[in-house]
Amino acid sequence: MVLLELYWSFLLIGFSSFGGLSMIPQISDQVISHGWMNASQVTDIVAIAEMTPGPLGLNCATFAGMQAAGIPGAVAANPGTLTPALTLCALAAAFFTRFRESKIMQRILLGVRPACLGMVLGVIVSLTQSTYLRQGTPHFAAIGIGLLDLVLVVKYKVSIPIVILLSAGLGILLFGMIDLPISG
Amino acid sequence: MDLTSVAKSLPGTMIANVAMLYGYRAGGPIGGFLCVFGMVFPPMVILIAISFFYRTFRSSYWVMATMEGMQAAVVPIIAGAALGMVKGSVKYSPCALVVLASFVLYIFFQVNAVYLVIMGVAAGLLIGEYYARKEAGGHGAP
Repeated sequence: MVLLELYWSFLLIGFSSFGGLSMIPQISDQVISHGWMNASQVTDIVAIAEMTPGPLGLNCATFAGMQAAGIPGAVAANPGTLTPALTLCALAAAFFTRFRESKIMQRILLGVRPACLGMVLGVIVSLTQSTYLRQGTPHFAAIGIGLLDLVLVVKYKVSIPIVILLSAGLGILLFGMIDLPISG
Repeated sequence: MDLTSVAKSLPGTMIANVAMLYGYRAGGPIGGFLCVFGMVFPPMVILIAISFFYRTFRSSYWVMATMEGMQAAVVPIIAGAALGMVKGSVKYSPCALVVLASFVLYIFFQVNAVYLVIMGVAAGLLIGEYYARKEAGGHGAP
């Protein structure tokens, strides 16, 4: 049953994501292997989710749920991502003092954080391939926008929604008005 | 502030975790659930609306042009966030190995992300144990 699969997938995603953007590799894995979205749609939803209110993970859950099974799908996927909050955090809140000093959690993070970083780097590589190198040929317009965005984000610390809006505008200009080809 | 770092350390969406932690403090488990629900509901409604538009208009000329531009922004944004992750991730040198292992397994061997997190948990416990013993050994030296 799709709804159960959605819930379960996003539950796995929720429990395996330590730190906002580390959800992306998890989400990507799950929705692509289940056939709910393809790589291009995952890129779309990351862009959309960064611009809309609400955390990335929940927005992706809603979107993927919608793609898979309409509104019931969206309603099934969200609680999956929320289960860690509803269970682990409820426990942590109840036993707060003991948790804060927990060495086990600190040790776990010692390994989980690098693992998440490795995966995020992996996603960067695979998305670079799918976004800027379509079927082997470099997509110069996209690369140009990407490089500009990189400078804006890293050097000038421009906020993410603004970068996305700017890129959307450039997209309208380059691919809409000037009508550059969308692939390669 | 402490609650926020706990929220960041636990898995899941940080903001949902924060909602539960503060909500629980304010009004017990029910307070927690209500806070999480309150925080989740508006974005969900908005995203459902956006999804409808997405499905209908994704293949239209202008939407495709716009999305093409937006897609180009995604990698730089993730890269920017990854840069921020680096400092907090490599406390000891074995951690760098974990980053490399995770990267290689993910890209070249398509290992499922969930397994990589489990590997991270194990690695963390091992690394933590090793350095704890190392420090204890140092203190015990005459």
